[in-house]
Amino acid sequence: MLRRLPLLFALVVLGTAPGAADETTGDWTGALELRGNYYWETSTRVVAPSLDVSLAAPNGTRFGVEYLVDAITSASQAAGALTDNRFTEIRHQGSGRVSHELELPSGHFLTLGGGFYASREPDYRSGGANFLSALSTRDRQTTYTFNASFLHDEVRQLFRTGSRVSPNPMGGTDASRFAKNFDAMTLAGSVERILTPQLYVQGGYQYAYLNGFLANPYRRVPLGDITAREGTVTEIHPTVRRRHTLHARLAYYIRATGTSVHLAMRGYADSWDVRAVTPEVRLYQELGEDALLRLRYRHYNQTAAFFYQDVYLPTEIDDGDLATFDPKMSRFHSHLAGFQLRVRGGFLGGTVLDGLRNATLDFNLSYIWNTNRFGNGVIGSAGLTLPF
Amino acid sequence: MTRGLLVALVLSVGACATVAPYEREDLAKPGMDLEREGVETGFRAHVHDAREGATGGHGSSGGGCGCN
Repeated sequence: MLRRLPLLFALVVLGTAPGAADETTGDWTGALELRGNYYWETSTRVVAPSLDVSLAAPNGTRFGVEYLVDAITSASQAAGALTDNRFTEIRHQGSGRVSHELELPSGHFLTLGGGFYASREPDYRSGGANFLSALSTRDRQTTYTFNASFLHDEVRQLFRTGSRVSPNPMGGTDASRFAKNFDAMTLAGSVERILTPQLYVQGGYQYAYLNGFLANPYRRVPLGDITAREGTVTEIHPTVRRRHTLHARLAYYIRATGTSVHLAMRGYADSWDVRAVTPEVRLYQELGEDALLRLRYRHYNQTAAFFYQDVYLPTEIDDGDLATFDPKMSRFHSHLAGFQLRVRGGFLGGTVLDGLRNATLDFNLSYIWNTNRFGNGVIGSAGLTLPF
Repeated sequence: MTRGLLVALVLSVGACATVAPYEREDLAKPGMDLEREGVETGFRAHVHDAREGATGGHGSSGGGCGCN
């Protein structure tokens, strides 16, 4: 049923929209965005095409649907196996969103909305819903937002190597016996404020509460050091995690050079003792009328979870104790540098491709230098946006 | 640095200068509007969620990838 929800939502939205548009003199606007996403690292390659459709009605109602397919290949080491057993897995993700803006008697604007999300792969299902609200005051000079979301994940196992032996003995040797879930709730608030004709700031706080199975069902934790393995134990993480995130952004436009500068900072702490900071700088440079170049640098630095150890000795740990072989539970840092080139088809006006003069094409490439076992990575994407 | 940025943010939100709508042309420039990067940002945020212990600040709550 979860798999069908995005399709049903898309059919409802797309099926009713044209009729409503005619009734309102065709004043609807929208955009179709096609995108190909790519991620590479030593043990994992992900190819993820996506489609996003958004519609805006003259009365302030907005609709949107998105569909994405993840094709993940050769991910076993990243997923936690100690040896690299190649496999390919397909994940389908769909989401829908709707919101409506109301003009209040006080002259303020209130936006209320919500959406749903569903993701499905052979051994993992995830579904959720979210509620959003935004209050804009003083001719939209200040906007306060509040979001809440709920998520339910179902974790299963597959016999990926065809051995008929469960990759993790927690569930026995029958995949159907391994059925774990977790639930998550997120509350987030933020404020955005225009300070000058060229400057705005934004900041917020997010709280997330996760409860349930939060480890990886395939991952085993090796005992002993890398030169002398002495068996493995099951990876076990705490079943509750509380996450706190503070984030802030400042954006400034330099009119003389056509440059936008964004400075951002995120601070994070959770109940597993993971602390992280993420500063980021973005520069957007206008290149003539139709092109925009974005340069981006992001640094990430985190501490280890309280139950993480580089080496677990057999004399110190029993099966059932908290233990992890997850690289992102370790202390590590990364640097990301990337660029984006966005080109609008304005130069096609008056040619045979005049219909694409408002279309936008973008190319993105980022490289990540990572100090943990995942290693370095590449994120790439190309997108075509067609407004209508 | 985090504290400094947050303090600056709190102070600036409290400022009372008014910027009229007709003065906001520069704020509407493509490089100032991150909403148009929403779909691209979504995939990138998913990658970061799957590879980092921290999350949040970009609307994601985790899940869907066994990466919590």
